[in-house]
Amino acid sequence: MPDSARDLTDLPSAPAESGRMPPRMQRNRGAARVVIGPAGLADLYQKPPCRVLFPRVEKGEPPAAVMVTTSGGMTGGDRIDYEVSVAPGARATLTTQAAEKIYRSLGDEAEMEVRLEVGAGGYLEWLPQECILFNRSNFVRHTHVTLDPTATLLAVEAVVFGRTAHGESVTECALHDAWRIRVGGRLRWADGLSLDAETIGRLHDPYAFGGALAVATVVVYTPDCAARLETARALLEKALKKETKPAFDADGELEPQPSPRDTSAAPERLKAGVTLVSGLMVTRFVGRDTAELRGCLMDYLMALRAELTGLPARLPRVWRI
Amino acid sequence: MTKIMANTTITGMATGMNTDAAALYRLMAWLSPSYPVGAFSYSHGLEAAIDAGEVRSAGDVARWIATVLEVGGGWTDAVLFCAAWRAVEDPAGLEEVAELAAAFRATSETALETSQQGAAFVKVTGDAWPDERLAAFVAARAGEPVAYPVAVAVAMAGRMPLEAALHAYLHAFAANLVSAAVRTVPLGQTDGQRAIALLEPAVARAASRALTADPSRLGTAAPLAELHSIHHETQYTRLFRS
Repeated sequence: MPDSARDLTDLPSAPAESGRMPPRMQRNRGAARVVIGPAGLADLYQKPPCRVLFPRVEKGEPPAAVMVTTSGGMTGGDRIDYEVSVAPGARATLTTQAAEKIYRSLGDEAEMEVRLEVGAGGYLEWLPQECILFNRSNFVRHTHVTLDPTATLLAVEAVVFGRTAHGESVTECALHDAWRIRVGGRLRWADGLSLDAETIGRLHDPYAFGGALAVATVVVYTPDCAARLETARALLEKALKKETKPAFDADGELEPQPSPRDTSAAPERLKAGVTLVSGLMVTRFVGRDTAELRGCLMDYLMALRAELTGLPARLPRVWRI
Repeated sequence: MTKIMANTTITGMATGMNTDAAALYRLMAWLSPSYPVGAFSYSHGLEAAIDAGEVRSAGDVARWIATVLEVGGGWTDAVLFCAAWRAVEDPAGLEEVAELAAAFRATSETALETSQQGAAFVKVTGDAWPDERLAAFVAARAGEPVAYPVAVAVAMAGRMPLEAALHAYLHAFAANLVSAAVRTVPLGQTDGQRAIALLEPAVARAASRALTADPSRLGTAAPLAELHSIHHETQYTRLFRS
């Protein structure tokens, strides 16, 4: 009896409804470590299913690295470790080739650990594409950031509940997505987004997610963050205005705003705000789906990048595909 | 709760009173709305939710506060309260909890809310109820912010039952927000008490889950309530500091 029980837990996950999830017997333990020095790539380690590509960038742009998960996604028991280190005075742009898919799990966690380090006067853009949590997935991500007080960081992490483009709804899912940011050796900001079987209903709580299935957090650190809050607010407002069209009903009349009584409905538009905590700038986005979130998020990231660095307002090409 | 209180032995209290009575007395004093920590000046973002027309009735108020208690800033406080309580005899462990509690703040104004109340609590408690352990904790923080739930937990730990203290802490958190709503929506006093009554199960659920929660997996799930707090920063007219 113990043997058969063990066999059951070792079985590969059953294919998802769409049949797209590859069955696998072995758990993946991937890793990628990228060290960027003032002259570009200084060290690289990669362990499948992680691969790192180094696309050519235009003159004046920081060196770019693109993380690829050749397995196409993660499932229960998989683990990926990313480590990015930017040496003093160096600059780097890191992104992922595609959205990270977190497939249905039989119970084990799919774990991702991200360690980012930026030395004195260094600049890192950590711009992974969104994580898509399939129904019944179980994902844990810890992002540890270590910054010199004179470093600059522009980081984003986005999570989408279900394949919103396919209309998939997430009814069961576990997520723990945590940030720990240290500046000059002290823990300055900590955050965690957690949902489990008991709290998954909060996706439809009007004061929690309100039906929104695509959320993102943008974290900025630069030595004079506080002085940039007003600018960031203006950039966010501009990005939101561009995305937000007036809500017309079928008769072409403007809908009354807002509609707080309709407690189960998705928010009528993308919501976002930026705040300053412990010398870091944190921006939150809450949107109905990827389509609604992405355009505004990209506009905002590009504008922030230009504001922080004087570099052109652009994102890695993979974000455009 | 009476049973829990009665089963507890409290030592080191030279009050001459029955020790359980002394514990109850301090619990009620320290978490009373009249304890001068300035709680009345914070709404945790609720004022912005009311301003936006998203919270309009006693029922809405109770639902908004329940969300914050169970998956928002109230939940964060509950878990950190328990963690600090359990680490109180271990200075290194307590410092780790205190650091996490100061850093685990979603917004500028909720960070202010906890650090100002924490500072006021250790000051007035240190003056009125001098206590070596609390003084040593404040000294170890060396000027770094002290989160309010950690300050309260350090003052109470081991001197009364955790479950009762946590319940009282969360009740005070909820009642303070109801009082903010009574002034802002506005609601009648009876509607305010209806909201308090509606929140009884939410406080119980948050307390019972927090007692067994793993602080290393601390997380929230209320991004819209966080946006209320963020939008409060730029709200045109406001009564509250958060």
